[in-house]
Amino acid sequence: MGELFRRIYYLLHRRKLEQELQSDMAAHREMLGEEHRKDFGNALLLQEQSHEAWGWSWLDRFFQDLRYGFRMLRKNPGFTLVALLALGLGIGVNTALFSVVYGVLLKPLPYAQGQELVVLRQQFTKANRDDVRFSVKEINDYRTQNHSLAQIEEYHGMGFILLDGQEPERVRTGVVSAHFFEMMGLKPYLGRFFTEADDTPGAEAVLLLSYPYWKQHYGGDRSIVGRHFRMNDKIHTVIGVLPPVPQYPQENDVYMPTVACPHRSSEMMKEDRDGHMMLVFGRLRSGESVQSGARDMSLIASRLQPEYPKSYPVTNGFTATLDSLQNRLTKDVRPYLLVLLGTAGLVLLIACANVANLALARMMRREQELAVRAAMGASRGRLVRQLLTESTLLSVAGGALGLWLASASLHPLVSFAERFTTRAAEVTISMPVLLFTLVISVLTGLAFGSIPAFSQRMDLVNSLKEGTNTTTEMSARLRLRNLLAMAQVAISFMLLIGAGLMIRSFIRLQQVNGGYNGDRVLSAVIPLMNNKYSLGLMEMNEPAIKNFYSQVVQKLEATPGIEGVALNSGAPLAPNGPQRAQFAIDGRPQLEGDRLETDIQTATPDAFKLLGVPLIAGRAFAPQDNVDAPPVALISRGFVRQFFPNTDPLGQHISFKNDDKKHHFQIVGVVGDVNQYGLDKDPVNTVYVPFEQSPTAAATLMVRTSGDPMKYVKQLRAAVYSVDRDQPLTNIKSLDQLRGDNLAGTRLTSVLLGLFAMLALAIAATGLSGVTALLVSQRTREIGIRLALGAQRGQVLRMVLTQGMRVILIGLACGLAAALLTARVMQTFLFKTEATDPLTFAGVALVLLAVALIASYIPARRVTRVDPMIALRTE
Amino acid sequence: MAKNEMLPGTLGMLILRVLQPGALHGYAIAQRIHTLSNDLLQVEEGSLYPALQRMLLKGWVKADWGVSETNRKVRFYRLTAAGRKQLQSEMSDFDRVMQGIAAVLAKA
Repeated sequence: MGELFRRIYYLLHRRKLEQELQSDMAAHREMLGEEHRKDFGNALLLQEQSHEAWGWSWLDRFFQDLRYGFRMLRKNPGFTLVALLALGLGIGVNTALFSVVYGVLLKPLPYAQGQELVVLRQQFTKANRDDVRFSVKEINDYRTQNHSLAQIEEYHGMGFILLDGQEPERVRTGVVSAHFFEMMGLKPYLGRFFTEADDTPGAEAVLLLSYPYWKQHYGGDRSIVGRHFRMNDKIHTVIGVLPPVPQYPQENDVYMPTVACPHRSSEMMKEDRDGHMMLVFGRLRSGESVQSGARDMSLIASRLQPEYPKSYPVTNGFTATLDSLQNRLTKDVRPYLLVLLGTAGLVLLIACANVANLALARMMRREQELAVRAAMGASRGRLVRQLLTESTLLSVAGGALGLWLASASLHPLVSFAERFTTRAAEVTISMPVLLFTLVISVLTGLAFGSIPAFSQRMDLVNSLKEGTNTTTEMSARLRLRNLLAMAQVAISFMLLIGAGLMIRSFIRLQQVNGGYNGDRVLSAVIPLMNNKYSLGLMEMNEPAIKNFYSQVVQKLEATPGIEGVALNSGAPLAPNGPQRAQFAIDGRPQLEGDRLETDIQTATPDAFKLLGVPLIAGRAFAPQDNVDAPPVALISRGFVRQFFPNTDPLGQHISFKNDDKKHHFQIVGVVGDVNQYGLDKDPVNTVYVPFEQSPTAAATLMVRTSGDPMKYVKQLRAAVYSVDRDQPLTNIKSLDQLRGDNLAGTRLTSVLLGLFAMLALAIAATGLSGVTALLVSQRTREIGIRLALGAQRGQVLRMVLTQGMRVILIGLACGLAAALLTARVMQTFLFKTEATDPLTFAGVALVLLAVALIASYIPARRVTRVDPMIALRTE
Repeated sequence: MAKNEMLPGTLGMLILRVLQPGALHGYAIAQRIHTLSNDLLQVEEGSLYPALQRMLLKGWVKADWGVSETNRKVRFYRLTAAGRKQLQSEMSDFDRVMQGIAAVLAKA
């Protein structure tokens, strides 16, 4: 113990102790007298040994190396700047991506024992539906029959209108069963959570507010508990506020128990086994794993299937399973992040190779300095340590620059991830991220530093003899440099392929026209929630709804600058869309277990013209198709292909299972297919019914304008407010914006990969330039001789370029092989593009060749300026 | 091997031993070792200092400022309690080794 303290004391008072030691030794030598002085030994060496005894010499040496390193970097500002930039960019992209990967994929859920939380999932494997929600009946079945879950809670998201005496506002509402938040392991920030009594039919309606909603709308007013709000024409009492943690599966403004949701608590919903509306969450019993839980779920499903063959036809292949909540939340973003992180890793690798190459070139010039130090007694280990200290110093400085770049570029990355996962909000430059940056910085420094450090052969004599580098060592070093340049070309090629494939896929996707024309069309969802639009709990007040919408349409039609107005169930590519319904075709016997499903859209006659959806056969809707006329329907082309492959659909009748009016709709026409759900997703079979005959209370209003559609938002609002002052509009977007949102994931991935590839290409190009430049400067004399003997300058230039070209071509070949092997991981992101798309490969190879040629041509041009006389005289 | 070189590892013990009677400065330590060994042991005098540094760190000796015979300010090293214990244990270790060696030499 005492020794440790003394050691630290020695560290802190080194200067004074050293003086004391020196004075002691000097006195000793004085007393020895002139003739015995040699008995004392080598004073300097002894002093060094004494320091060694203190145990801090490694620190001294480290600081010495550091100071020396600083001096070397300052003396070579060009090298330092290029290396810093390359390393900063390389480390920066890795830090930024790692912070996203950490926040989204790695960080544990901010909930107690988050690893026990699971999400249940039903599947109709043979109908390609692997994520079916749950009906009330099913939730009860899983709750009573499972053995692996300690708790099962349900969730579904709604949008309700909240009235608190101010502006009516549509709030994102999470509807949950009583113990949902307890299961998540949360504690209320204010008040209390729901209880069993709150979630019993007939209970007084209660409400929880999310922390951000409470902060933003009520300024964190703690007296909020006990306040009353009007929602769904009922008084709801606020009983508490949620803690400020991320909310899964979605961020909501308010939460209510299941009995308070008019939809969920309706008799119809409670009795309908096929009303798949809810998400189901669970907490595993201790000792149960996700696998054993999944087995339990599929066992229950296999029991339910034979019991209810109507709901689970054998042909659909019904089963159930569960996933851990963490995996489920990040499932969509994981492949993107991993590919981007891999790409960033490659960028860093190129930066490493490039800086190693620069350092190697610099080594050649430092040969003598190092040889002198070695001659004066520095061991090989000491010199290697010196060089590694220098490179690590450089890379840690690069890391600091990278950290700054990462924090500056984090925002666009987070908004990228937001498209795929709610966890994006949890991304920050946190402690683990800082640690990651430090570790990769140091590793990078050691990696690129060790190449020149260990290639250093201690050939003292030759190095000391100025100017006569042995040719074998030179060529070994040159080979190493060529290898590094090849690696840069190869990796650049891989990155360019990744970017090229993504961009090609993006262009393909952009060329999909979607089956409609969305130019200058503005859309908005107008959900009629107010009591005056419904009769009782579930029935719509159709006259009131039709009246409201037709007034709005009339107002807009009279507005100058608006060329067309229409209503339907959902604009193409909008997040809210048509409903799915089971149907039957009249006169066609339905086999047991045969389940026909289609999308069903409500549309006004003008909707098709406004969207440019072509009429292919029969007639379009007409104003005469009203309540008093026989019900009619239009079907999409895909619908014809699937259900009327050999018959004429016109004049046939179809009916819908959930249609309480039991209408039989006559098919009067066929319209074109529309990519309703995504440009990369095939159009879905759709039946269109006229708005006048089958109105909806949540119609999408669309207007075609004569100019920029976003300039008409005000007119749109004004038209709605003039009819009903309390009616909100949501999702106000132009169809171009909706299309842009749909393309955003692919576009952002293309942009990021493209950016990385450009970075890599730029770094590799400077690397190639450097290799050629060195080649030229080393062969100046030889070139001089050639020129003196009558070689043409063009010939010499070609000779140098050919030599550079060899490096490029070998690198290209290696890159090609590696890209063919690894491009497959990209396939999931690609739209109608093969991962081995020959056109992309050829194009990328050409671009890379061109850049490489230019990069080597610039320094190679110097040979044409070599003056043979001067070249021969040097050395 | 020069005839007068010391057995490795014994210098520390010798220093501790010559300091046992009282504090000495570096030069005096070297002289004492010379004289007491009848000039048989020739220490490279400077090597005292790394050894002394080690012992200071271990806490076996302490250094105090004093004035030498030549009127110079020098440090006098003196044994601490821990140093005394160390000397005892080193001496008994050394004794055992010597007995062992002597026994082999005598009987072989």
